[in-house]
Amino acid sequence: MRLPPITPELPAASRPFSRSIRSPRAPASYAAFRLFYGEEPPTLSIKDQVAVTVAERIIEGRFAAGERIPEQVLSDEFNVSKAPVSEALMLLEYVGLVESAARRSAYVPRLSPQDFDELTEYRSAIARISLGRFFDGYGPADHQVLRAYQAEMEAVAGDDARWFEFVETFDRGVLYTAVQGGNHHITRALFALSLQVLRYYRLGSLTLKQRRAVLALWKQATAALDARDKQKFVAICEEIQGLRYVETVAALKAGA
Amino acid sequence: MDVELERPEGVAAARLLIGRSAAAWTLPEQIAAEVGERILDEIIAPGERIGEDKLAREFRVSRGPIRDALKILEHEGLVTITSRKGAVASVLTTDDLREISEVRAGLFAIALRGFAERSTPERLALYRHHFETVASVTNEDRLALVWLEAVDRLMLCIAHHCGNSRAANLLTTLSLQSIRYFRRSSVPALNPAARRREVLKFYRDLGVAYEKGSDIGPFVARLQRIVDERMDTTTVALR
Repeated sequence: MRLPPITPELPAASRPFSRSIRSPRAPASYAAFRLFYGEEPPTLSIKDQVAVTVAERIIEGRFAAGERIPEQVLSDEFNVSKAPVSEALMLLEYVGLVESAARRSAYVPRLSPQDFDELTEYRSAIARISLGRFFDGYGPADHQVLRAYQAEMEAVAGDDARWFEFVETFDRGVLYTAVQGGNHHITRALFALSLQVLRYYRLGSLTLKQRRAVLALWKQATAALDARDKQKFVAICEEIQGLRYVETVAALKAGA
Repeated sequence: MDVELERPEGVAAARLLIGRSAAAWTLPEQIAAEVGERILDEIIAPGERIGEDKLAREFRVSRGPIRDALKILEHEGLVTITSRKGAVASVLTTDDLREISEVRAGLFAIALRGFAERSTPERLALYRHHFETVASVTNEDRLALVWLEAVDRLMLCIAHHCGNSRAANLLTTLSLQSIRYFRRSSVPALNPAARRREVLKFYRDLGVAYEKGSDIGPFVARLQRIVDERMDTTTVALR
């Protein structure tokens, strides 16, 4: 018989992340996937699990922008010493989900249109490189994977309640292209950015119409890849980025 | 033929602790800066194991701060930590150099343009100051490695005033990771004074463009050529 867990439940890694990117099926935790991609922990360490939980709370707005993160409260809640909590926050600082003036006082960075501008400019610059590399190395196996991602997005696109899954799957598909692009400096930066971007995307949902528009562009991008038309492929990728950019800035302004 | 090359100092600290006064450095950060410098100087060779105990004895601290310091260096890409071998100084490969150069070139465009859009008299003065430093060390072969450091600081100064902190931070990390590569191709035999003067000219022209507020586009292309050329020379030096 199964007894209740002794400490509060923390997410565990269900399968090695580096294999799971080939499958569009959502990983057990979208945050764990992005934080630890490329590492092969059969289970996550305590500090990793704390990092995942706090990351999800920040992305989902349960820790508000500007809010201080109480280390003591976290170590009480998870029933762990302060050391793993500090280490977890340091990891989150590296991926830009947490900021700290001095080490002690970590807080959640504020969201602003200027910051989103900066983020987008930076992300486009490095994504352009990895998309170019992905295009150059593109093969039948990539085609299969992209189609699988498309099918997964189509499966949830019609359901308003599942819009975040749609966005998360899409974003993971883009990360797949980065991984295949093979520049590990870019991959690492894009995984960290993905967490920051998901925070912004949580601000406003995507309407059915917008989800369909993203899907249509995804199909066009795949077609351009198959037709070996690099210029068109890059142009479509930028169009997708632009589409989501407009939405997010509108949501930010509405919220402000 | 053999000139004793003067080494720049505080190279790791300048990047790890950018914009912060020495008084505010934590113990792990100070250790990271010191160990990082040894890695850059190849006193700790690429691939060499870094023993926690040995460092703990040397710095007279417990293993905690040493471990934190190594984690900082791991994040900056100077150290690789595996459960099997512990911490080792990261190795140098031509593939890694190519990847770094590719990303740097992409981010330079943001940096050059951003600096132009945000130029103020103070920032232009800062640029001139760094430029004068580069100019003062360009002609002497003995200072070839100091020259490399001066040029890199000028570039990072542009990056940290381009209005995009994410791009600036990645460029800083990539700078740390690329120093060992570029030092190999910065010896006078591979990077003679004539070539150093060409790079100096690029930054002189760029400075003039910033002062006048002229179009930065051509400089992005010129810098790309400089980066490509550097990468080719360095790749050869690495073999």
